Amino acid sequence: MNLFAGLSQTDYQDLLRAVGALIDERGWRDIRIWEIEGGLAVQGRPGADTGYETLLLSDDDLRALLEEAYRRRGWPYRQSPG
Amino acid sequence: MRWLPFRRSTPARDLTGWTRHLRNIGAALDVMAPAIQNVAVSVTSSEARVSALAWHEGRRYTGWTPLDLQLSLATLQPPNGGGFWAARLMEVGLLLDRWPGPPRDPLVLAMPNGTLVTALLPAPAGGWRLVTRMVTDAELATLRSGKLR
Repeated sequence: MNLFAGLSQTDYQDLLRAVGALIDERGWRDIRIWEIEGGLAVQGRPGADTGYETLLLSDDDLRALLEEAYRRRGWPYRQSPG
Repeated sequence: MRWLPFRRSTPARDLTGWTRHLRNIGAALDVMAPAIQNVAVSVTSSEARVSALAWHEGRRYTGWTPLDLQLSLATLQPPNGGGFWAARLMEVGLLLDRWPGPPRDPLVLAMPNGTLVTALLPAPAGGWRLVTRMVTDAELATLRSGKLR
């Protein structure tokens, strides 16, 4: 993931909160999250009797998620200079 | 009488590197449950963490149930027979062992349309960089048969 490239500090707290909201919307449980090159891989189970579904969130997807989360809270979004 | 040279049939324990480690992790999974799916394997220096869904048949519940394992690479054994996950993860190991590096700390994520593999590779400027590749089942099978470079 290159979302924080060029920034003096990371912002995992807000990012994972936004990803958590996405997971809550889908009603997933037993979730798994990995940072991969170019984004995040997120998996969760929609129900107890089902297998995992996967979301591959690119840096652009995550940026949009963060922007939306900040917009809802009325906060400015800090862009990566890179 | 003509003596034939003794020739072992490429025993599984002759494998090395990630091919051996991942094959052994798969072998451990193959004996855990009658069926296992949605496997995720994360390996650090000496141990692997495995998350999967295992088929459970019981009096109170029958269905897929989460399985979480912490495995020490040093104590894992080669497979006793052919198992699906031993074969599949061995194929991923073959892929990793062809990456320049060698790679470290890989993550293997089984998905419906293939396998997502990430690992740290030495960065040209020093340190390590995260590399990700999505491989299809067909690519892995080809790799196993030695046709993919």
